[in-house]
Amino acid sequence: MAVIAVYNIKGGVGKTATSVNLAYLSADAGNKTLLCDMDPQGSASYYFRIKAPKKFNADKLLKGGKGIAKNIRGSDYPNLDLLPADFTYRNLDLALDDFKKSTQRINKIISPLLGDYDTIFLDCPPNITLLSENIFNAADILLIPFIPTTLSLLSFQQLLTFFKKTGIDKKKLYVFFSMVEKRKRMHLDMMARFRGRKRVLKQVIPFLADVEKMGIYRKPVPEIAPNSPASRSYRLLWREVVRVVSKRT
Amino acid sequence: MQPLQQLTCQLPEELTLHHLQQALSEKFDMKSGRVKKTICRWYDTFDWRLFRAERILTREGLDWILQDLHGRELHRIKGGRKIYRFADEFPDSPLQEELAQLLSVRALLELGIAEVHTNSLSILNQDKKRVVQLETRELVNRRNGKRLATVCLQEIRGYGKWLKKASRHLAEIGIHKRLKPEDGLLFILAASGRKPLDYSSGCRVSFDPLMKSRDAAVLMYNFLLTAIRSNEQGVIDDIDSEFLHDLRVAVRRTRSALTLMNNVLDPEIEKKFKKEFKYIGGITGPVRDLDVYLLSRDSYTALLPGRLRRGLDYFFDNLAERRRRQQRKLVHDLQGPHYQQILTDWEKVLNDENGPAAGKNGAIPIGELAGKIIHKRLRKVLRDGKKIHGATPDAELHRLRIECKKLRYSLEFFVSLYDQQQMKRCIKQLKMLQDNLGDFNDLSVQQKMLADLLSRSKPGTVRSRELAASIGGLLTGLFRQHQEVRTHFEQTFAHFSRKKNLALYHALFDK
Repeated sequence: MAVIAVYNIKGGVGKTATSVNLAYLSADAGNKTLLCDMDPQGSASYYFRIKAPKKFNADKLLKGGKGIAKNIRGSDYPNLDLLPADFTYRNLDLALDDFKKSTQRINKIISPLLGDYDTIFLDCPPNITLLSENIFNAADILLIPFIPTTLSLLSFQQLLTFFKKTGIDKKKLYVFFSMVEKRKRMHLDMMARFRGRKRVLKQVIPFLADVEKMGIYRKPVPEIAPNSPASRSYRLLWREVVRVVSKRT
Repeated sequence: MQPLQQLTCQLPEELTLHHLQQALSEKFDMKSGRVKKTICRWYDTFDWRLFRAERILTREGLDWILQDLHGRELHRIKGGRKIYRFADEFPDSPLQEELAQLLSVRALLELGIAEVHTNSLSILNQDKKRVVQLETRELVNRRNGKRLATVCLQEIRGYGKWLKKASRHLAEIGIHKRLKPEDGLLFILAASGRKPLDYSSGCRVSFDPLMKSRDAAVLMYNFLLTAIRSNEQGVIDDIDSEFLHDLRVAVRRTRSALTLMNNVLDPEIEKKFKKEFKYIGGITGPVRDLDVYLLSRDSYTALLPGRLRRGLDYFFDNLAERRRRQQRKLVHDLQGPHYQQILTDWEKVLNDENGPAAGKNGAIPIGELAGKIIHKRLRKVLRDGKKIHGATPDAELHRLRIECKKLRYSLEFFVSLYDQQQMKRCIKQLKMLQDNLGDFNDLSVQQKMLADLLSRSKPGTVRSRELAASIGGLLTGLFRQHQEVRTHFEQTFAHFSRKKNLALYHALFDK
């Protein structure tokens, strides 16, 4: 039973690919799984061919309760449901500001869903706002896909500082290397610097064309190419995440 | 969250799968999925414990599936090649836990078997997202060759409107006969000659109060005879312990009725068959006694520390061997001429053209006689119970237990003649007293068994000393419980014989 947020302030690092594939694997393992697409771009929703219902918007999301349940959609895969994003989500942080305890609102509306789901994934937008802070509070685990470059390290350190300032438990943070290209010296060097550190996951996700094909086929990678290296990498990542979750809960 | 809808309809004979797919493709964007062919078997206990709990258990291929009567799948596990008979054989799982609760010690029987062809189809929206899941199933009953074709529409969360559209379209092409999972079960049972709930271990005979007692008695005896015969094969095949138990209960009820309703039939008939049914009680006793001991094996093993369990194992293995021998003897007796003759003669007597010869109470309306019988039995219980106090020998409590049983049987025999709610209350009050006396009896039996175990261990070895020590400990504990139950008896009996309860009896039976 866990809420897993996939987050990075930078875009294009593989957040959505990670959320979609790990949510798929979680459901495939028999866990009732919900993927909440929190990004107004709606990429996760696009991959699952699901559009937000016409009457759904950011205000309805923040109201919580039945308003959310009505808008959850079953994916094409057993045990996997999706709460699709809506373009009005671009104003979520403004809407959140209106609430008392404005940093706990998302936690309040997500927690009741744990009665119906074993695992909840939050696919986050690439920014750092009141919404992000909400997500940090709501999540049990924060998974950070990290392309092993110098700039990534910088933004990671900024994130750690932010956590210290806002008092969020940095033990929730777990980092893994994403879109890794072993032929790049910088990637290898950066990964070597982090090797063995606590909360840096061992499994990496290589840069693979199969992952990009998700946009063409509009399916999770294990459905497109079940025996590919891409599928295998995500499977191993999922197994490591399961171990991490069981240690923390 | 709302549960997802599921609609199952029967396909009319003329409509083939191909027609169905064509008709759907005319209106919807369709996608074909897997085609599966498996063998499906249905299971329940002899007394329909699963059906009674609104459950249906099937095995499709290697998967065991538990559904409710709405067709919703509750549990599914993958089993092995072995077909499980008892709840504790299933792999640890929520399915196993539910079955353990519902089945208790009863075995699963195969109710029927069919070949199942499944076809998965999906309806897609304009984004090519699956919005309705369909499954067509064709069942071919292996036992009689009959076919049943169904289509099941499964709602996908958030796309309920599409399900409605799809079911409307199906109705337009002639598919609208809704099917419940029990219809599938009935289809399977059709070849076996059984119907759901056709057997229950209760005593359900309805009397009209103006019926002559003799006619009422014949109805009761016939019901009990059917119960005996229904359980015979299960005893011979040794399927589970309850067949013998139910058979013995039916025999006990028959013997009890012959005593309680004495002189309703010709006293010669009553005397003869009391003796004959006593014989049946006698031949079935040994196996039942051993079953009761063996059923307590696990709880005793749990009470002893690991090192001493071996001694207990030898004891129970010995009991198991004795049980095997007694079972063989029992089968021989049940298939033998004496037993069969008793039942044939009894049936002839009961169903003689003019009915069996009546005794002097035979013409009394049953409504009148019932009240007299219950009253008499109640008076006995009250009289004997009042005499018991701290120093009374245990044998008196055992006697009272028998008297309570007779009162209980008479209440159960005549329950149809009285107000159901009040009868329920009566029986509940009596049950409390019977439970106390039952505990007392169980403790006596357990102490006897442990003493027996002790006497069989070879003296002088280290193990036998250890065994003696732990049995000594268990016996002390049981003796203490025995005393507590004994002390509790007086309180329980006082509660049973309080004015309010006796008033209930008077109100019901003093007419």
